[in-house]
Amino acid sequence: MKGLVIGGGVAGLRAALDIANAGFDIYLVERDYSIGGRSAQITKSYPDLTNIKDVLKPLMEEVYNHERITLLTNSEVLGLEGEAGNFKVKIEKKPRYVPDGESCEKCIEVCPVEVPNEFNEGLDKRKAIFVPFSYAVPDGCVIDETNCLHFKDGSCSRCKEVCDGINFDQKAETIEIDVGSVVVATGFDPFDPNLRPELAYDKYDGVITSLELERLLDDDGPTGGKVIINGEEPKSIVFAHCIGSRDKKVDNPYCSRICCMYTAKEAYMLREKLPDANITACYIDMRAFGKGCEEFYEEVQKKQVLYRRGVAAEVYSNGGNLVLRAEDTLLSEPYESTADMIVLAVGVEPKEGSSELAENLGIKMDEYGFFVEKNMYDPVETEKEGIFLAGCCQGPKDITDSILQGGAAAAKAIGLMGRHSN
Amino acid sequence: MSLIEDVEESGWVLGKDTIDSIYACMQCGKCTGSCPSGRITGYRTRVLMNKLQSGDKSILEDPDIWLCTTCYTCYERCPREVKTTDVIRALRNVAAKEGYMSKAHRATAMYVIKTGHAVPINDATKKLRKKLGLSEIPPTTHKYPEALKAIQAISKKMKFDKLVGFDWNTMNLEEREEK
Amino acid sequence: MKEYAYFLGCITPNRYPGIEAATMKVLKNFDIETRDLNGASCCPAPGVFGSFDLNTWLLIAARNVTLADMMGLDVYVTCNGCYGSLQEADHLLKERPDLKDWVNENLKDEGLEYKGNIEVKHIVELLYDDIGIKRLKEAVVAPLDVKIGAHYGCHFLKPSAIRGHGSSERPTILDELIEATGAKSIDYKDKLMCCGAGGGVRTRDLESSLTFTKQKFESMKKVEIDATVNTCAFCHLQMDRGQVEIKEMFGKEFNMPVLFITQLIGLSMGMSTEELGLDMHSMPMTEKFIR
Ligand SMILES: Cc1cc2nc3c(=O)[nH]c(=O)nc-3n(C[C@H](O)[C@H](O)[C@H](O)COP(=O)(O)OP(=O)(O)OC[C@H]3O[C@@H](n4cnc5c(N)ncnc54)[C@H](O)[C@@H]3O)c2cc1C
Ligand code: SF4
Ligand code: SF4
Ligand code: SF4
Ligand code: SF4
Repeated sequence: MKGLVIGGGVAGLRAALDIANAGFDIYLVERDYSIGGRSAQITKSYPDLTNIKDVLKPLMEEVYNHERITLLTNSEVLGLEGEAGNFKVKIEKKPRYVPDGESCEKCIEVCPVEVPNEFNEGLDKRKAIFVPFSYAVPDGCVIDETNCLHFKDGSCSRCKEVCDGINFDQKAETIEIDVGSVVVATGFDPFDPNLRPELAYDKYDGVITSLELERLLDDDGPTGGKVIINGEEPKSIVFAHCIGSRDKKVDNPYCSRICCMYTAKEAYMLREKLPDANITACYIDMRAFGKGCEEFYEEVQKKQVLYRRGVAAEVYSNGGNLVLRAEDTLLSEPYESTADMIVLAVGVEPKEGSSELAENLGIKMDEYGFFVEKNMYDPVETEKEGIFLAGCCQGPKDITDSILQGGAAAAKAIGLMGRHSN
Repeated sequence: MSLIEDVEESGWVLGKDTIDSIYACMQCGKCTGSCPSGRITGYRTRVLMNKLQSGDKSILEDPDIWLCTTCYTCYERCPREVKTTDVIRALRNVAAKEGYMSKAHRATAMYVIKTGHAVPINDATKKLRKKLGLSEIPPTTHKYPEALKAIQAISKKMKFDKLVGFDWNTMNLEEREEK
Repeated sequence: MKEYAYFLGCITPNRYPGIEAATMKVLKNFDIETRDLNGASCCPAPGVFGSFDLNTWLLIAARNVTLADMMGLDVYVTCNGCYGSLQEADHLLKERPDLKDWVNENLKDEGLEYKGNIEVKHIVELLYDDIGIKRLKEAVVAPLDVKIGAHYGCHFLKPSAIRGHGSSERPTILDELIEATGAKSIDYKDKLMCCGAGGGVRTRDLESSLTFTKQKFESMKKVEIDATVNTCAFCHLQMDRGQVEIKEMFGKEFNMPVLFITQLIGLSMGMSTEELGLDMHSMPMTEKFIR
């Protein structure tokens, strides 16, 4: 009996490996061109500043090379029928147009199309034919057919002129597979800060999201690890906690759980790069509940990151400088803080496309769009037998918790498939 | 009665839920940080919510509660959807009942009882109206004495006259010690 | 032809009749007739009377709405305070049967009954929805080559859940109306800030109240604006007469012409400075607004 994992972030990778290592064949369906998920966009992890690439890259490669795992990237689940032990799943597999591993990158040079690079949160551009990121798996180039001129109006085939491997005739195919269990691990999207217009994210380049800062902090990132805003290193930086979380006005009343700590980590890394900068964090309550987290928070404070109680109220520009208005709630004083860079600690939201997937699989979503577990004692099972949940698709969590849940979901899937195999 | 019960009673028009929304306040400071008044005066929206939660009646005599312009910025932005501005209005109703209404405010109220308008017509404006081709007296309570009577009847029925200390004999404010 | 009742309130007819004249003239040009709302009173100001006694506030506001309701006409206002009171009262009465009964019980003596068959509208809605930007543009005969700092005021947009004109953070409706006249609407720091008049602050603490206004003008001065245009008679008073008071109190001069939106539109349609009452303001019009 075979299993299916949907989503190749840390949770899905862990689940796929654990099930495969127990002796079951596994399909791993990933919507993106590469596996890795959001964690690949992040450089180091709190609280111990582990280099994520050091952990994630081997995990991705292990999955790719595993003889029991069939990896389907650029693919999506269209429907599911049947019951636990005997699901029929329809999958659409879209073409990459370039053979895996092909990466001389001459094609990239000749391609005339430039679009914002999603992996770098739009901080730089990529071509219509591109390598998703430095350690993408599968590696090599892919063509993004929504932006490629060949697919738009047939007006271009420059890449093909320099690379024989490219095949525009590849077609999307729909395949049907039989599986005994399904692990859903489709992850999350960051909150769109334009829903809080008073923070002026769309108005000023100096207002960025925490995920953008992750890309700036990455040595492999668009600036080679330099933190540069409007052509200069920022001298004063304000972090704004709880953006799009604990906020009924944007229908996200929940706490996103990771942003207190990832902000502390980003502040720490920023301090290492900018020893003389003023760094402030505006927070409501500090949630440093994980193992080693409170201690790390103290480390960050000792690096002279000023924690000021009170959420960011609004942002305006004072002719060049950004100004953040807030109340210091411990002093009961409203204040204005000038900054070159304001980092919005955006919260965790359900992945785009979650409702379609829920419908296709026949599982439930909560009022926010996260998938619903069976109950608090069965936190990886759903009400539909044979379908399990792992990672941020079930609710906000960090990498360790996502991996934990991935392992737990795998154990449940193994047990179920074991029962049905006998 | 507790402070919040007083506010609920005075604010019944706005609904009990509106008033009770203060219990959801998480003291984040979005309100004060957004408040144009707080930038200028000593008024702190968040602190007010805190004191309401704890039932601290001293806020009734705090002149700062009268420095909110009811701009609704905090109300719009509050992440816990506390109906701040409406609560402030209802709270002021309680303060007014306790006698903390300033002379200037009583005078504004007096004009409505006396003329139907907080800002009544004057001779200068009558001239301007004429020049513009408008009726010298606008078609309001200024022109219709029976309409003014209706406003006065409402004032009496609601005991608004008593609240502001309006003397029907002198058609003026009665003397009152300013609290 | 469309017909509306016009709720005048206090400041418009009793201090700035130019707003009243300009509004009726502009509407008439677009075939919108205005009928007097006979016997209307003070709205009464939502942040002032709502702060003194909500019962009195609701009854008087409801009475004003009911006068229009009994005429069977939608009613419009030229003041955000009036809008705040009438629109909120109407909303409450439509939402809450207990309030409606209470109000009707108390209005009975005057022979009034609120039924809730009409809408309370702001002049900006008439301009934007009934007339529309396209027709306003077509009616321009004397385009205005000026830079304007828009002042929305508070109670036209907020509380947004009750007013229903979308988010209050990035409104464009007034800017669009201003630009329909050929003028340019210029962004400035405290564009959406309160003028400082509301909530009884002007009456009780003029200095604090004018400090708001001063801040707004300071932020307007930074971006070189020819005039400020508003949607509210009370803001208009605070910003026009307020400049005289600011000069007396703080020794600061801004000399910024202040126009109500229908006065600006009137100018663009070829009406004269005098017939729009612009010569009656505390702050004199500059060259560009004299026609
Ligand atoms: C700014 C920032 C900093 C962070 N820093 C840290 C940190 O320092 N330490 C830490 O522990 N955590 C950190 N996190 C949290 C971390 O990113 C998450 O815990 C982790 O990515 C969750 O893994 P996941 O597998 O659940 O989801 P994801 O990483 O989101 O992966 C989900 C995968 O599923 C795929 N997918 C989605 N929908 C479909 C579909 N319909 N079909 C097929 N595939 C689909 C996606 O393409 C993606 O590859 C940070 C997060 C942010 C935003
Ligand atoms: S065919 Fe498409 S991908 Fe290839 S070079 Fe042209 S635009 Fe780029
Ligand atoms: S983890 Fe911290 S920053 Fe994130 S929502 Fe919770 S309290 Fe706010
Ligand atoms: S914004 Fe709302 S939750 Fe935050 S302190 Fe103010 S009233 Fe309380
Ligand atoms: S409504 Fe009052 S308390 Fe709220 S922001 Fe405006 S002035 Fe401040």
